[in-house]
Amino acid sequence: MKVSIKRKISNDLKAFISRIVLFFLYRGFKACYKFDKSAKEEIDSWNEGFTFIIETGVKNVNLCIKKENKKIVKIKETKNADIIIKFKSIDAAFLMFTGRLGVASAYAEHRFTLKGEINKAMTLVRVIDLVEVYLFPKIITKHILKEVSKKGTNILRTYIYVLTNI
Amino acid sequence: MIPKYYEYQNSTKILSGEFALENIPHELKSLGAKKTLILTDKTLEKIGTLQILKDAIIDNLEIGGIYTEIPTDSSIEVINEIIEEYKKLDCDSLIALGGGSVIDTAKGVRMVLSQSRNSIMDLAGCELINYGKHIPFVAIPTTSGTGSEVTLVAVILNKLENIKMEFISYFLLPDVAVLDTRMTITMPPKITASTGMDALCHAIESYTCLQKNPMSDAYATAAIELIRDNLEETVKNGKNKKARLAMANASLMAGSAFSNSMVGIIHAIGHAVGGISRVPHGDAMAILMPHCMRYNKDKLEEDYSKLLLYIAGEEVYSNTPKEQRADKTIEYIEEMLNKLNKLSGLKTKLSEAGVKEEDFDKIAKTAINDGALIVNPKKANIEDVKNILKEAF
Repeated sequence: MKVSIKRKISNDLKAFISRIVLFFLYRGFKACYKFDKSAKEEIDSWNEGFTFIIETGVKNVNLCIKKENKKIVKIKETKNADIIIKFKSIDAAFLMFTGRLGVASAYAEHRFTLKGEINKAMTLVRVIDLVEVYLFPKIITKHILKEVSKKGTNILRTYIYVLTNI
Repeated sequence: MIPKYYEYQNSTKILSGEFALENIPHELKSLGAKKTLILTDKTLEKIGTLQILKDAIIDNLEIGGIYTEIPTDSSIEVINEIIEEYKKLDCDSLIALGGGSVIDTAKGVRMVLSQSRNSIMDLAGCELINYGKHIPFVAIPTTSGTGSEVTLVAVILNKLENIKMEFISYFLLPDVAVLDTRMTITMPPKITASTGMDALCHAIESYTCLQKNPMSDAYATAAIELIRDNLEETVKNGKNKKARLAMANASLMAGSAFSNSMVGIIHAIGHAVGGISRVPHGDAMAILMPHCMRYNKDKLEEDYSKLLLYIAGEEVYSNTPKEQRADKTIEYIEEMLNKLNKLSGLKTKLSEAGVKEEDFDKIAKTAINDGALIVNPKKANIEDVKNILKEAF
């Protein structure tokens, strides 16, 4: 049985946009680690080699990040991640990546499965929240975050870093 | 208000009331069981609770073995030991008789057996396990507080890393939960009070956390009414079977509610206080509840206002101006705590419960990494938690 064309286009589009958002999420992690004091404190608390994966449920649309030599690096998939967040559908992932659902609400709605120790996931969740403060405008973050943290650095500098990696 | 999306599952069959224990053989046999392993602890063996269970089932069900060495904190080592025993005795089902620790241990044992794994370590997390092999499982709570007989959570201690690992899956739900007053009637007043306040805390947090939904609200509010009407009586007169059964039902309903809508900041701080200062879970819940509710109040004014109807009754609710109802709800809980303190000696302050001020930092750092905090509607950082601890001290 084949999926309808309308649904296929929708899935492909969601996967495409999710891939872009994941890329900026990665850059956002790097930028926050570099410029935001709170994010740096959180990431510094991670053990060297700490790895997490965000999977969207679509093949090759995922993000695998490792803390390596005190840097945030993107790696190819690993089976030994500390935390794996796996969305139950691309639709659920898309809700989060387009700023319509925060991590806490996504967790509350059982939108993803979580592999690993929940206490380690909590610090990751706080960093994702911080990254979202930079990536999304306040009109969105005030709906998806419990509290919009003050930006700890110049927003322009962060955007330049996210876009150019410089 | 109906959430945009929610999930709710309570597939556990409930046997509540007279001769409920005697129906266990029928339930297990109908689930395909022939030979069962009973898990419990030394205290329940010593005070005769285990014997009551054995007498109730032995004529109609083969008891393959009884494991009584379960400690207060269930651990991976204990689970592995029980699995060996289970296999050696050729058992095919489990009965857990006890409080949260015994039932959580049984969940861990069942999880490993059903998933055909050697260790539960790689199953830590949320919704990772599949249905697997079915191991018939009956849970008999001996306290009225944890609600573990109907929850999808198991907390297991990893002694090597000294951390409590959380396992969350709908497949952890027991097949049958048995509420029989013979199992709770010997509970001392102080434990009755402490576990009862734990049940109240489950109901209140499930009514206010991010996953709240119409089903969990219904269970939570029904539980609160039962606790309001019966907790004090069970503390005063533990032999009152009617009140005991009501409290057992309240605990189960609150358990089902929080199993589906989770608990928040009271539990996050309470877990840390329990782990670091060894304060019994129910005591920590009772002490922290009003202070955490005050912290959350600006976000939860409406929900707390509604709760006044269930915690205080119609008359108080209708006589209280709308803008004062949330505060009144918190006051009622404080009054309840003070009454229970007079009746049973239940602690009302963290300082009385053995918490040291110098541990606040450590408690706060642990609390903010507790999974319960993610579904609390209000964000909390280390300073916020420390302020709550100071107020509850």
